[in-house]
Amino acid sequence: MRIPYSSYRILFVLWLCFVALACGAGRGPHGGQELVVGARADDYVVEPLKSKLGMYPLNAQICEPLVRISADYGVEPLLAVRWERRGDTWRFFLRPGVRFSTGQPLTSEAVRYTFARLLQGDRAGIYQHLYLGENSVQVVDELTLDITPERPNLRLVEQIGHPNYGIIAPGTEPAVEPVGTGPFRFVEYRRGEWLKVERNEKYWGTPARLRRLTFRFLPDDTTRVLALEAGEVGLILDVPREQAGTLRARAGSIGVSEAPVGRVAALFLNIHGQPPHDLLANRNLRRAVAAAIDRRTLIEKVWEGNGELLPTTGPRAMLGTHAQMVQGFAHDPGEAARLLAQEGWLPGADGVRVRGGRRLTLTLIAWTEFDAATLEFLQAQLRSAGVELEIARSPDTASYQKRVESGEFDLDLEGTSQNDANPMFLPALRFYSKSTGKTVRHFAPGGRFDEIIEAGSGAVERDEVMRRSAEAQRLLVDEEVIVITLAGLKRITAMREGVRGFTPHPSLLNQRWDTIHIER
Amino acid sequence: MKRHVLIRVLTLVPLWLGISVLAFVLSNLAPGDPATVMAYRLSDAPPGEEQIAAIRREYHLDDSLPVRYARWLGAAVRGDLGISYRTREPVLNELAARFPATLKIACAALLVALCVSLPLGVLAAVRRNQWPDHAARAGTLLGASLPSYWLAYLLILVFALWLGWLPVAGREGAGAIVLPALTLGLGAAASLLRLTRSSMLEVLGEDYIRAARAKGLGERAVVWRHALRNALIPVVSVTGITFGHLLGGAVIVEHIFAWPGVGSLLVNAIYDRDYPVIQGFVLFMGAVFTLLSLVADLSYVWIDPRIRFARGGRG
Repeated sequence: MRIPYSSYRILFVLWLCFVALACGAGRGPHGGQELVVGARADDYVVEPLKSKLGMYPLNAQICEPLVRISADYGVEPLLAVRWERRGDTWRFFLRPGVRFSTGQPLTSEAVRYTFARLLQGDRAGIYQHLYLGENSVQVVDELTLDITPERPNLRLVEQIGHPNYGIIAPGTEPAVEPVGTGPFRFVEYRRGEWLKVERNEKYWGTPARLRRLTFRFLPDDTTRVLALEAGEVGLILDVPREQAGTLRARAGSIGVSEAPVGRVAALFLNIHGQPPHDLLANRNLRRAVAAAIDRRTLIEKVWEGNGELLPTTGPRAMLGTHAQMVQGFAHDPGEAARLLAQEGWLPGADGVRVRGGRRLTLTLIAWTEFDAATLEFLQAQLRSAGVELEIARSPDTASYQKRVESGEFDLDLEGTSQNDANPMFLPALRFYSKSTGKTVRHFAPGGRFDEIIEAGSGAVERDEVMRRSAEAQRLLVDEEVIVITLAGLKRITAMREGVRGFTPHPSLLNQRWDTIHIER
Repeated sequence: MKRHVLIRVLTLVPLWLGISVLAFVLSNLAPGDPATVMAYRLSDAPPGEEQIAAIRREYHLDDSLPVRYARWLGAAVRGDLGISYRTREPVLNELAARFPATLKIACAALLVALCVSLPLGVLAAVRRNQWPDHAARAGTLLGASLPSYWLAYLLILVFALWLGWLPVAGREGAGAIVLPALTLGLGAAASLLRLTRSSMLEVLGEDYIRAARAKGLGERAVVWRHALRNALIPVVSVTGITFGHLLGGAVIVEHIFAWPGVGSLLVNAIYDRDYPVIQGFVLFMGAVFTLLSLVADLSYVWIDPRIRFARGGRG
């Protein structure tokens, strides 16, 4: 039988339509001084009063805080040119001549308005982190203001460099349109699709070199890489480490850059767990777990070199010269076996150690960013020491949070980021027994550790704070083995040829875009 | 016929009530606390008890499940699906803002599916056991077994990276719909092609087709005018259901192509334990799906006079 000619004709016409449609498809513009950045999923809160659109979690430099966090986690003047402490009060002197992108001058009132709005949106959260209350911010004069936390807070200046505390113009609401003093001004936001900003021509400092900057939300890691290769975006954030090698091989057309360590992968050990999660109350057992893990192989083989051997629980820069106080662990299977035997855990028939009829089984939970390969590597390492590791994977962040709060685990694999300049941030938040954090009770050693935190939090000199933080980390890592640091994580960024001036910041939240330009 | 329609419409009411119970119970049973998720999103640090308690109060999460269900259902009956925890926008607005994108992708995918499956299904049937039939069957197998994310990456590689014809992702430009539609549509085309082929084969063996040929009608008229019309009856019915699946099953495609439809809205809502959005989505999509099934059923009755007359109706 012959197929009617018309059906071929229909197919041909459809194909022509497809091709015509396809040829009409333009690619996103990124010519001139315009850059399209491929970012991960859009995670902005868009609720009025709570919204930090353009500030957090993706900081487009629309708004600026009073101080800036430098790449070595130092504090630099930004909207405040200087500050001084008067008892429990911090006095800030604002930079004169600064204007918001709308033309309004920056005054102390804007700072007061910003913090009042933050308190309205999340009173408990602001109090928990900064100890600020209703009357904490007082206008002294047009360019001078006092901030008096309700509890003494000597770390305030190091904390308020976080983009969460970007100053907004009085009377504005970022959920509608963020108005700040930064090198870029807001143009358009389409939820789940993009955030567009352009150069703020009224900027008080060196103007941004890019005329226009678009953040496109591409939640799928592979799509982001493909969009870069196709030239649809000029720069992508958070390159998955398994694809970094492929992109590096394209040297010439695509460049790959690694940020200094701003995030650390570490195992937090539950030292106060209830049976059956009570085994790690024993310090020798904790030490054995630490000795059983070959971190160098984890970095080189599993993470393809995208990590840095690190003993500290946060970036080394946070501790200055005191970082050397923290030694960390050496991979020593013999020591692991010796410690386990010393505690009465002897190899059973299947190789898993047993004591009094109880198998040495631990439960591992992990933050969702860690892949199966990492967890299985840890499982295999501990198995070779005779420790059975059960992996309780959480499908999403909410179920992980539930699990970690419940305490139904022995080991918790986390990636902790340092996004402000406070050296006490992580130890105080996660391990200080008087912290309000919901998970502290599983990890807090109490006693001397709390004294160190209190001394560090109350120290005036930054060097003393760093020393105290190093001391606290030494207690957590070397002495009590409550934290087993695995590695410093390197954030990978890739960009097309011609994108210049990108200096990766260890903290993505503090990444600067104003220094970037396009070279043709 | 009218009675049949009335009965089918009335059965939707208990069905939707069941869907509402399931939507509410399942979303609330998932481990995790929306207040904790929100506190994390606000603070960039593990939240404290007080911060979480304040958010729980704000979202009325301290009320018992039955109280919350009754409140939600009462409002839903009046067309109010609640307020999203994540955005504080009415859920109905959220769905209305995102649904057109999903509808667009589903319609385009259905068009792809029909354009591929109908001609090829007919071709495979009339050339039974010849190479077009073998090729179509192999294609069906491939289309049905290829994971959609794999097909998506393959299409991006070919059409966006190598040929440079189409954008990798996003919604800008007329061509942006092509790759998502192909990804979603080719999977659906596989099942429709198989159905078209088998239905055509069945019809081509009927007496009236033999009679048509005996009367000396041309093969084109036999196939297109007599056989295809009757072979399409089950295809039309299944197309309605397929469209429902396309609407609800675009999640992966939306994620890969950064296409902000209701699928990605649901995924984000699940991650954030945004109960009102999850419940609203399930109820809304349940209603759409059941209505499409109803339309498919009714169209079946309308298209095929044998069923209409067997039910004793006269339309």
